[in-house]
Amino acid sequence: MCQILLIDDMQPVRHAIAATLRKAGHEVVETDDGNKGLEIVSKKQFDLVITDIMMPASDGTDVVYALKSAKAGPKVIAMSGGGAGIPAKEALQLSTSQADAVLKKPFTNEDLIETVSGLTSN
Amino acid sequence: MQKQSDQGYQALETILGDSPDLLKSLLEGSPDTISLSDARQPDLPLTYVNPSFCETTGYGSEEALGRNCRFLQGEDTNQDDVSIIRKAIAERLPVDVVLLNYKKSGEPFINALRMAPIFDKSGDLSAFLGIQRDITKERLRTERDLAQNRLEALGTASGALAHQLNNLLHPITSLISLHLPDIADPAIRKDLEVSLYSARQAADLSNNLLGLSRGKFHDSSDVTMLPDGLIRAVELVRLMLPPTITLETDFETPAKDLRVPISETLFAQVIINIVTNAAQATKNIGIIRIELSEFEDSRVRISIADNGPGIPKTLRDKVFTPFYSSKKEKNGSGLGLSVVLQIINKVGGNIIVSDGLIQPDGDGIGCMFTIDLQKIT
Repeated sequence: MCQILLIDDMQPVRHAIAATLRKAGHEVVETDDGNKGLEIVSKKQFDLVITDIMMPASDGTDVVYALKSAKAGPKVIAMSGGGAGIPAKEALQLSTSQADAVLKKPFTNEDLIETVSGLTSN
Repeated sequence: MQKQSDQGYQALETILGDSPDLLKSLLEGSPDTISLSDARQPDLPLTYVNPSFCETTGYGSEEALGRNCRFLQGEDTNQDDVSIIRKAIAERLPVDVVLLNYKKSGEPFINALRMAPIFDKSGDLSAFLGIQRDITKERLRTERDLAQNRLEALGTASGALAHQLNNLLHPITSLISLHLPDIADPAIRKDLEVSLYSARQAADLSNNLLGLSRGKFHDSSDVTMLPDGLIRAVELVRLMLPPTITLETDFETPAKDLRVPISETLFAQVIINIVTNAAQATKNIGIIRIELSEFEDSRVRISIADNGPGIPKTLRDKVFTPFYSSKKEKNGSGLGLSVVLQIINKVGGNIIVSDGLIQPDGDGIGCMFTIDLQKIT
């Protein structure tokens, strides 16, 4: 069981991802914005942060950089389906070198659970 | 000051008076086609044509002189354009008109014509001056650019739509598949499996839309992967056709991941154009068969055959000539076949027309377009 922070601005998408993680036995905190996410991380310890990259209020890439530049921070998964005119690969490009894993949307529940357990098993 | 007010005409007249050669040099050196018709003779016969006239039209001056200029008109010349010229002649007014003319070889060209009455010193009408320019290439380029712009707009719009759809579909597929194993009732499970299947189909469709928009973003690579690019194009065109059309495909190739040197957007547009033409030929109730094959080790062939009325052998080359139409297809939503051929030629490919499928009544044979492309090795 892991403590996971999930950041995604699309509520139904976030709900589905959180439900999948909870069913797999993880504890999930949800938020819809990168800045709010960083604030939550500063107050509570997490094993893993899963963040969307393209969000209206803040850029998930900033979240990835902030978390990975801190010592002994949580593991980070960046996810994106790209956006209008921006392919997913391009949206994830900056995060790829920093994040512990990337998930390209659309992904299946199995992709998600496998990636999470791959990062948190040890 | 004098020069400004008469735009230098007086100086020109002086030089012209001294050097009659000037006029000849101007006419003979002009890249535009220049002709004079005698207004004092019945039916306005041509009395002078410059070398550019002969070069553009293919008619020698001896063939042109003495005839009325209308011999350049032909089958598909728009009669409205012709009446504009007639009206201007009757009213002795200058006129600018763009019309379809034909060369001696029968090849059509778009002619931008300016015609002006010439009056002599006593004010009597003596001639009509015709200045013409073959603007076929410009027109084709414009048409192709417009088509490309439309495609890019379509690509951008469909890409944006696909992202929205993916975001909406993710919770559906994810949540159904998450809870499906917990459903004990087999009938409810069956129902949910059907909705999961539909949501996944919708996701596939959305990814096809992304494939189309991706063509734009990857245009710099100018490569289409086959059969995948063809499968995506066919999935898209299927959406554009009425369900009464039967699409049959055979994409079995010895090698997977064939690469052809054309961007996926243009490739898709070529396929969509030929397939929708074929569908129209069968009056939207026929069979269209699309096959992909390799030959001669280095080439790829995509054939699109229909069981419509076919194209008579004598007219087969004509379908590729610019502005050829089978009369009714005037809606102009797609690229003309001439532009399709141009796109394929540009990447070193070719298109040929041959016999297609047997018609439903067994009497005739439909038409087949075969695209022949060099494979990237």
